[in-house]
Amino acid sequence: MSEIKRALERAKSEKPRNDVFSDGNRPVSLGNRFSAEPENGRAGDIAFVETRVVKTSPEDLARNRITAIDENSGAADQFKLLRTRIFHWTRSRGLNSIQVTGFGAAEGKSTVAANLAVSIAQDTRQTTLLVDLDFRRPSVERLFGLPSGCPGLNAYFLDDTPLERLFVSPGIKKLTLLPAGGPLSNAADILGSKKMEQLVTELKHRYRDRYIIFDTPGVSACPDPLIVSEYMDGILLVARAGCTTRESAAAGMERIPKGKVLGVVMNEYSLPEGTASYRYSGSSA
Amino acid sequence: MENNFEIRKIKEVLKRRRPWLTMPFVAVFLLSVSAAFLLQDVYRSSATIMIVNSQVPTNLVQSAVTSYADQRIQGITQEITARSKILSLAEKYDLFPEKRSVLPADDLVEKIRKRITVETIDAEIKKETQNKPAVITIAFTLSYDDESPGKAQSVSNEMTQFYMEKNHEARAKHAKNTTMFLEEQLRLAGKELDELERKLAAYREANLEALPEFTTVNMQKLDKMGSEISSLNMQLRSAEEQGAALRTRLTTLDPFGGGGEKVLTVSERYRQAQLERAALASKYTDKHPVMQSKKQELSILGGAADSSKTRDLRERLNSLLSELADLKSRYTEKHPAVISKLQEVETVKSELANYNGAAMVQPGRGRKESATNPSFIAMKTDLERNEIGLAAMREEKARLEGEIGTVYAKLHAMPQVSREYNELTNDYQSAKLQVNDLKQRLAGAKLTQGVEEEQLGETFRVIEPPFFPENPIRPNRLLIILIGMVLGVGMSVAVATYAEFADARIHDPETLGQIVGLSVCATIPRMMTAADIARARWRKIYSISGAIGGIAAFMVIFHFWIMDFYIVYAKLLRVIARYS
Repeated sequence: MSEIKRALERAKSEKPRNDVFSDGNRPVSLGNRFSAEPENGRAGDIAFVETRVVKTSPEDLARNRITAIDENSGAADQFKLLRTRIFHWTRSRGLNSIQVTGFGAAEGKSTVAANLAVSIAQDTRQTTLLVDLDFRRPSVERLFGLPSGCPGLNAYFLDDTPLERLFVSPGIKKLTLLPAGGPLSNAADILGSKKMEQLVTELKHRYRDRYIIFDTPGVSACPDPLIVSEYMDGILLVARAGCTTRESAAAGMERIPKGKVLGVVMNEYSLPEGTASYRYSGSSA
Repeated sequence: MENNFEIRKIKEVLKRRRPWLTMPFVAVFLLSVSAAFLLQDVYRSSATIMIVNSQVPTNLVQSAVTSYADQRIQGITQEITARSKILSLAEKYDLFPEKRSVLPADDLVEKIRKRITVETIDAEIKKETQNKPAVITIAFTLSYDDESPGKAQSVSNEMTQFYMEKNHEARAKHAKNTTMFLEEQLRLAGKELDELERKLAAYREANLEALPEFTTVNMQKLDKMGSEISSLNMQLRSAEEQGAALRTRLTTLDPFGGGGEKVLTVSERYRQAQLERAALASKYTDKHPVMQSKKQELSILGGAADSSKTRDLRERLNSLLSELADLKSRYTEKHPAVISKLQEVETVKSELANYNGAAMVQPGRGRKESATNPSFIAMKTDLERNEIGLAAMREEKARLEGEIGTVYAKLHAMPQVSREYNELTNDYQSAKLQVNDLKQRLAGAKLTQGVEEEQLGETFRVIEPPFFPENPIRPNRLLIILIGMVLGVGMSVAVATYAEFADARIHDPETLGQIVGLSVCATIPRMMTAADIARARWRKIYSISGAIGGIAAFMVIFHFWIMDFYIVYAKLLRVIARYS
């Protein structure tokens, strides 16, 4: 409890300094932002130069349920909690690649991944990369309002486009996106290829203090997440209340390498009024 | 904490299953409400009939009807619910006017039968003799239900009358039948008694003296006859002795010997008669009757006079005979003197016979006729009288002996007769008893019949005649609606429970943690976008307007196709008035 409280307090105290959109710096000039980036980042200044910037408004983000951006929302608190936990689990062990997957479809995995990425990016110490590995139903482009036809990982796999050209900055400080770019018909083969391994290694080692969030489909939908999980440090499972079935949850747990599972998140679940104070004291142990 | 958790879970479930909780309830409730108002009013008219105990105490007049009142009620109920009776009621009162022509008769009968209710009102009565209280039917109610209160009253009324009539009829008939039966029995028994009486009299007449009560009489008779016989015997003996003595003396007397008195002989009389005729001849002619008679007398006497010679012969014979008797007293018959004397007697006798012809063959007669000795004749008469007396006495004795035999026979037959007589008597007595008994019973039955006819026995009395029902007994709208509500709640709970258990989805972090085997590290609330909020608002608007529309549609359908609202309103007012 105390740990979480401290984390929350710290997050709150850091808020004014870290605020991206508030305190009058809107509209922010691109130049300012780009010039500001290297100051914080220790390495890879080139990457920032090469990164395409697609500015998204907080309204659009809110419309796409990326509410973690608004730190006053209830959801933002929950994501901060989740972020703190992930830090707790990973930092000591030097882990930085996290796969977000679920059990079925339409469980809000991408939303959770995006919000988590945003939330981590809001932490002063961390930068975040959100990689969309869902080649069946790519959603990062949609969530962050990237223009259609925006190049993505498919270009990397199919045309060997260098990664540097594929990064997109959504206009949120310390957050970089790597969209899928479009569906791939033979996603399982590609994800199991050497190139994929090289990609993950490359991403993991380019910035040591960067968290990489991989958004993948549900485990019951296709083999993709299982293939990918081989290269991951940790797996975060997402289940949606009133959507995920008991069978798919049980079956999903059978397939996933349990050692890598960091935790389970329940999406779209609100505690009834008056009981909220109780919930986390039990699970913090 | 745990309790809190449970409450939260229940709250969640309730929230989650709200549609399943509300919809069935609303549906069932609406159905029950429409059913409550749709059902036609049914009125019940009932009569209460009391069973009045006999007004004459049962120990005074025994009731002929031994069946229990409720048994009789059941019987009459069977009669009233008979098919024909019900059908006639239906016709008479126009029951089920719209269904009567459509429904099969059996169904109609069944429907009407269901509307007839007979309920007995029982009372527990503690009797001193029994430790268990006896349940006695003291009254019963009779009711009929109909949509029309008037019809209900009419039918109920008719049924009440039917019960009253049937009961009275049954009881009167029963009493009358008893009387008739007893009368017939009495007639038969009387006939039998008469027959037995006649038989007994005949038997008594036939075997009068053989009856036991005549034993002493018979014994006395026997004694008397015995003494009579012994005295007779004595008399006989003396008479016989007298006879023997007479006979002995007679032998010593000469029948013709002279006595002191002059007796005219035949020849003397002949001569005298000749003299008289001569005297008469001077007076009358030969033809004169006197002359004729004298002539006749002379001829007769002449015949006799011719035997003057025989008189000598006879005298000789008599002396011979006395000599013979004397000889016989001294000698045996073989004595030569006796034999010679006998021969002499025979010779004389044959001589005499020659003179007197055939008339003189019989010595007695000859002796008698010819006896002239008065003492002989007197003795002879005595002897004859003695003989006559003896014969009479013997005859009497024989009669007495015969009579004694009869008396003995009677005495012998006595046990048998007595048995038969006793049997007959017994039969007679029992028949007589039976007749008496029957007579008593008949008297009792006649009394009972009188009681029944006067309706003083156990009767039915209407204490509450069928009334005109003001308020319907059915349907109990409040109850129907209440049941509908309870049923709706039950249905909702059942449906929601089913939905909850049939739902394979995970709804709370605890379940998820259990399945996954990890505790849930974060729960993300539903992130509402503006579009979501707007959508939710629209959904709310839609559902409210849908509900309003549905209710409106229901009301319209109800009003136009089922029941006008003013009727509903009227019914509602009545219901409220009834319950307030």
